Amino acid sequence: MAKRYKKLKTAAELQRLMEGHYRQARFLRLGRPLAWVASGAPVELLRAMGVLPVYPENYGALCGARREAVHLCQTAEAQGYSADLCSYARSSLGSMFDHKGAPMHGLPKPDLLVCCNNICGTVVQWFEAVAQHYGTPLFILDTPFIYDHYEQQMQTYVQEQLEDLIRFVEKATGRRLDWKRLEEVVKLSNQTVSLWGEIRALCKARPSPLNAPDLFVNMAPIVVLRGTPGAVRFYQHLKAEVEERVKDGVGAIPQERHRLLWDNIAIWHHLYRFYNYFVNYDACFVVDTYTGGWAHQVPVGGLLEGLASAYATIFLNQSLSYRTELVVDLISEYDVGGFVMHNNRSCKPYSLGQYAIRRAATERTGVPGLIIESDMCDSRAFATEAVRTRIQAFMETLAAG
Amino acid sequence: MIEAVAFEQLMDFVKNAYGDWETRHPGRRAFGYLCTYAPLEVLHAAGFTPLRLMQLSGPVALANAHLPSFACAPARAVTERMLSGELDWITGVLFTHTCDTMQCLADIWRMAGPGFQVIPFSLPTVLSAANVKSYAVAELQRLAALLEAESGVAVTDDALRTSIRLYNEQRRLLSALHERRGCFAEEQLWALTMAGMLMPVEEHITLLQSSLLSTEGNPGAENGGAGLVLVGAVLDDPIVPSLIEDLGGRVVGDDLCTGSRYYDTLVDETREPVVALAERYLKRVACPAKHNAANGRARRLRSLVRTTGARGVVFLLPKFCDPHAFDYVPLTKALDEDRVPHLLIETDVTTPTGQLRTRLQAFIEVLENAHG
Repeated sequence: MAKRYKKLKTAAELQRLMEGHYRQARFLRLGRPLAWVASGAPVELLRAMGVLPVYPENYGALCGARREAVHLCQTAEAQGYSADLCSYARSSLGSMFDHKGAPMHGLPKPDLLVCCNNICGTVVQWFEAVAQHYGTPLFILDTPFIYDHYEQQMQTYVQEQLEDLIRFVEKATGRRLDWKRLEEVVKLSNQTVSLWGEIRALCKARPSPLNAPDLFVNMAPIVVLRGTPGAVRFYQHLKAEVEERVKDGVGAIPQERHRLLWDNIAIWHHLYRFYNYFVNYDACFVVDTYTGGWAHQVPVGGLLEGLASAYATIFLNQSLSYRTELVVDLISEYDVGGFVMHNNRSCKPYSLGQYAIRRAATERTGVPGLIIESDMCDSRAFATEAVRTRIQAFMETLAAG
Repeated sequence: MIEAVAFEQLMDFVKNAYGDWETRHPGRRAFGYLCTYAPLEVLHAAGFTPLRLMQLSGPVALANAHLPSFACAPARAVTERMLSGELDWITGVLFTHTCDTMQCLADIWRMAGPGFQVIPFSLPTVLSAANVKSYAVAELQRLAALLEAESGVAVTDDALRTSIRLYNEQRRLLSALHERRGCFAEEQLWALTMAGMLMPVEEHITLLQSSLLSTEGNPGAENGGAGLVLVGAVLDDPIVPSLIEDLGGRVVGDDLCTGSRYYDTLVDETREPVVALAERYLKRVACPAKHNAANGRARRLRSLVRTTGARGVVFLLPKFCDPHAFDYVPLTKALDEDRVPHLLIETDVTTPTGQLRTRLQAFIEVLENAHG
């Protein structure tokens, strides 16, 4: 098979950045307390208080991509966790029960835990389990699910909890919040987020300079290093490279005949292999719904007010109608001819409504969608031949249409 | 104890509640709900009759086009009822936010465009959060306004007080019924309990009063077998408790959302009604989808086992139920520390009774042998 993946020059920088992040958490903390945080937690507050964050979800993705998730999941299952639970949670819990068998020997023991249920209900019970295992203080930010409107009482409730979160971190670490520092971190965070949004928007070009695996690999810093100068620098470099590709008319895949949209978390254990099935049909995923989850600014104004509304209103905390609008808009903005939804057994809030979204989005745009059932980390749920057959049928329909 | 004929009728009603509900209850406007966190008093005060939508029984076919294979059976079965048109006569359905599946289900229903109103709303998940009560009160008030607009009936404090008194009475009677469970066959107890979520509360109160009256002077015929506590979500059929009874065991308590989680904790009748409803919401026995910093669930199970003298615990885990699957680990750990044996039964759309009987039999034998 011809080499289909065009490596980015910034790949080495990305690797250094991420290795540095994990090394710092283990060896270079310089007295800073370590927090395990969920991907939707308001990390800016923690950074401004001198707390170092690590992300069990990112660690889970890493285990999945290294194809080391299954044995960690099995370790968690042996402790009584159902094999039907989220594979990030099972990988993370498995690595916690058995450090030795885990990549990087698991994450270092946390001093405090901060999660937010804006992405799912799983993080609540997953973090409860971690808290119980280590006897570590846990803070859960409760962001009520937005079925229709973001009500004033929701904003008040979330903002009051942020004030409580500050008190929680002060009590757990003895560190105080420096508001000036928070302002700087939020500024850096917004810079990172803008750059990421601009990079994604560059994929509106034909051919698209990036394919879904590029987006998935390069999203790591936006999640784990948001609010740091290192992340800003990295995305400046990445953006320059992607701009160059656009200027030179260089596409992410050898020949782009079909432009597709991706919905849901990646299938980490088959990342390049899976997207290469599509490359065989000259199909490029020019946009996705997941990595856009970190492309929203903290609004200017009161810092806590801005953080509250930014974190409470992320797309996974909003209705299926809202998410349908998002898909419909992306289809037209990125001039997409088809969409593929990963029906991810691990992620119920993202996956259960996909049938409804597909129906509505196709009805509105005339663009067909394919649903593929799999799992982001647990490769036992991946039926290679069935998946390939479905992709073939879908691509043949697209080519005929 | 209830008369055989009356019991047969009750069983028939519970098992086929939705089919002819409208003709059985003329003049009433049914408002569906799925979860015990639905504030029934607010629905009732707005002039509706709350009607719980459950799996109970029945095949699933249409729902497969709307939900993936990893959605739980309760979600699939109620969606089947909605899609089949079986519920077209109801006024609306209230979805209270709990787990990820219920969160999505509300929207899946709205997008499927059923012939009735779907009202979802979000009460807090973190029961110990800062100022959580103010938020809960504000959301309950918003809900009351939505329901008022739907029914045209003002939800006044007086109306709420009346509804609160009725539901408190139902809770007291259900609690008394379960305390006297020795006087009833498991199937009867199940039907009497489930009826409360399917018939108007006023009728259920009468039913419970007469059922309890019939037990006066009756010490109950407890078989003296091993006492068991049931933990799980919705008990859609009486198979498990009936099998336990057949096999010489006894159910002595539960942590089920069609059991004690439905009737636990009264609403304070002396407080401002909406505030009192919010307070009950925060302090009642929690569903595992909710978080309480005090980690009340393991403590409550331990105390339930202790106070009932149960010798073992049976977990009824609906396949693909994330909250109960996570919850299972710390609960069993607590039981292991107390040396209380437990059994896990995974439930799905259908339950194979043969295998169930064998496993329950073995479990009960172990418990009895352990006690010599």
